[in-house]
Amino acid sequence: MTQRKASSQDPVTIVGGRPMHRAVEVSQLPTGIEQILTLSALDCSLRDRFAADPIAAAASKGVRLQPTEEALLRQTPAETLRAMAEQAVIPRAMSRRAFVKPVAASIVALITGSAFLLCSGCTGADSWDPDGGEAGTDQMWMQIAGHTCYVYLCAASQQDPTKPVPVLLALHDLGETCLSNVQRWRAAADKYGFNIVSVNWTEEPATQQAKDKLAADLGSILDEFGKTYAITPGYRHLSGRGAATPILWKGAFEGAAHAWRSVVFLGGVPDGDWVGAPETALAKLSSGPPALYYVMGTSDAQLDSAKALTQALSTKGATTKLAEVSGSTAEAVLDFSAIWIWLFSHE
Amino acid sequence: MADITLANLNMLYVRYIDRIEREIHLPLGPLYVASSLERAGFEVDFRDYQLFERARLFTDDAISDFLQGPADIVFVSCMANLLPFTLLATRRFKKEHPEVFLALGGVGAASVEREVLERCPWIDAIGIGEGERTTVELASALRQAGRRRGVDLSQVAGIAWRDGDRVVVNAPRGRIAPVDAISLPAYHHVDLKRYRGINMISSRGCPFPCTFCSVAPVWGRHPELRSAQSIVQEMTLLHERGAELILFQDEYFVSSAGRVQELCSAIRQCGLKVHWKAFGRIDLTDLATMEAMADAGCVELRYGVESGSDRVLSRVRKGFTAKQASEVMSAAVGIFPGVDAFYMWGFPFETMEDFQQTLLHMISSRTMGVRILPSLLSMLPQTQLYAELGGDRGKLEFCPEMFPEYMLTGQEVCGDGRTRIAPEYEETFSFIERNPDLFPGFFHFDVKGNVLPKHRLLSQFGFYPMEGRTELLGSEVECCGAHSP
Repeated sequence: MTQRKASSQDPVTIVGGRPMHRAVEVSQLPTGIEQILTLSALDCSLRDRFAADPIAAAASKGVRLQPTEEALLRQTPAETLRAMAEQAVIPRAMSRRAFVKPVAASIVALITGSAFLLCSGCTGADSWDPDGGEAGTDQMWMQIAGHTCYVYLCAASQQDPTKPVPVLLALHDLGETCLSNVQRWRAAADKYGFNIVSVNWTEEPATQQAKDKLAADLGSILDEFGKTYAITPGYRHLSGRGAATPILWKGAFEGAAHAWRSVVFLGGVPDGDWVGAPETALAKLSSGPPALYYVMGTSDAQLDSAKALTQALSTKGATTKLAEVSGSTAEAVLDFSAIWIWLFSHE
Repeated sequence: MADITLANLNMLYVRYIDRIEREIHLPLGPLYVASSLERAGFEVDFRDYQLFERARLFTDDAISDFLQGPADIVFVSCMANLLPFTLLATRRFKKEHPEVFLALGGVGAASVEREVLERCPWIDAIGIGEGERTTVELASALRQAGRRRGVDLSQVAGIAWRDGDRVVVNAPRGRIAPVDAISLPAYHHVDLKRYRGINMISSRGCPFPCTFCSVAPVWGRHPELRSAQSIVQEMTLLHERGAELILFQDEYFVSSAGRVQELCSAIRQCGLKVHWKAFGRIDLTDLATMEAMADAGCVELRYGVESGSDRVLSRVRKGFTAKQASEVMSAAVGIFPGVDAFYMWGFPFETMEDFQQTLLHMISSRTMGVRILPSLLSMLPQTQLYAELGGDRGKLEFCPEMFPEYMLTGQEVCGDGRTRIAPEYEETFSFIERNPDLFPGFFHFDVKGNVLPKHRLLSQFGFYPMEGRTELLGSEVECCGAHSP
């Protein structure tokens, strides 16, 4: 004999197994796992921590996990978590429409602070397309000159990609992701109308060879980007944080001259003995170096090097500005609009 | 008047409080049968219930109207979800048309043919297995006898039939080989524009021993593969008739890398510009195969991942690990615009730990942009899993507010996180409840301990609707092909 369950005890509807094409506010779902998984996928330096202690890794990134999520992660072996992070390919596509389809896009949106919707039930490949328009079309992944980049477009470029606007190519620090650059710069980009191209350079462990290649490719990345989204001639800018600073130095200040208008270093210091032998450190300086805005915390050990570098660069005729901030660069609250104004006009 | 009325009753019909969602697919199985019958010289009156418009579709009246003016022989095709309704609705039809020979086909009654005939005396015969040759032989025998009653059908292989008061199950019919010998579906009976899912098959049958699968046993776990030439010919035909997207619905599409690449090469060589979707298999799709598929127009690949627990995957004899599934899907999302992953949950032996591994696998896959298609386990009678239940079948529970997604009958009303049965449909569900051996797919194993806690977690993470959560409707439901007749 079978048993019949009373209908009123815990009535539920189970209607899945097919695309339901419904959407819910992301905020209504627990998405902590997706966030920390996304961050770990994008940043190899976070993967070890995620595998060893996913709860602590999430906390270190400000990702809130619900108790259910913590329980799920706790009972998962470290090797499984590591494999998940390594295999989690965050969808990339030239197509905006393709980009907004996957749930991962919603997670990216959460991280970068914009509101997204995601399909519930059977989610992912079907786009949620309110009013027939394109949702969240201002951010996307692009493969540019062999590098994975996260791109933020200002309103002018969205409306007319052929209309030239300035562009900022940004490299994040270790322990961050390319999404963090969009968090930093998007308000300024909205206000002053420039595009952000953030290179995902930490997805794989960055060998010296890979860093050198990236340094050499910086110009090519924007050359290729400019074929799709026009760039105002002479208005190419660079931003690098911490461990990315040596890459930018090599790419923008050494070797062949590039058409970079300005560069901002957010902490970090290029290779070389800037205090003891600045001339040696400047030996490969290209002609016509770009303007440099250098942010360094008063408590950072590299402050003296930063001072020496800006001074040495000034003597070579470059426009420089050293912005000393209280405490460490990593913890400083920076005014990115002010930095952009300087990068744009050097004033 | 036609010789045979061939009626498709396969359909997916989900009723909500404020709307109805349907996936109208080409009724491929009945169209294949129609084609064979016509080649044998029979005139076929083809009818598709998916296109029949009625405010109340699931009533005896509606079926009577649908089958109005039938031929002397009526073949009805249905799947398991609509088997109870089909059986009850045809009772009235048979009362009104006692002279008609009424036979069932399709997989709805698979492996319970004898029991259905014993309990439903208005059904005259049920086809078992492939229908193309069986229906021709059955119709020929009836025509030769010149009558519908008292005809000796003992020589028609592949049917169960009523011989007076006795139910007889004839010898099984061998598989049709090569499958290319079967003529293409009788597309002239349908207007493709009325269908949202244009289905095709590249093979019949699957050799894998997955214990939950209700399809492979129907084909005797023996696959027959179509040639690339034949597949491309049919794709071209459909494209010429307006199809822009074709759904390959056979489970064994990726039978081997060589075969798939040969097909993709043939598609490219003939310059066919049509998009298509197909089922993949984790352990049979390598990178080169996937890239060849994408180059040949494949826009979506679907995987039956089933579980994130290696213990469960091993128990159901799936043949790969959860890690392999992640690796392959990770590669697939970089190649195809759409990747689907089907997961099953609610196995009798699935612990909460197993289930949590599955849930995490689903979340991880979703993060990559894979579309997650969860299904509550439905134990159909032809499955190995159901056979393995043995004495535990008595523990199956009936909860009409909670059917597996493949078993929706269209007679439930879903809304606010609940399913309600309207009083006028109570008979259908009472019929199901009284006959658990005919319809075990509607039943659950341990609702309180096995189903509800897992469902709550799935809902919490957005894989099912949840009461109290604001949900919005999208513009259109894209056909996923999982319910194709």
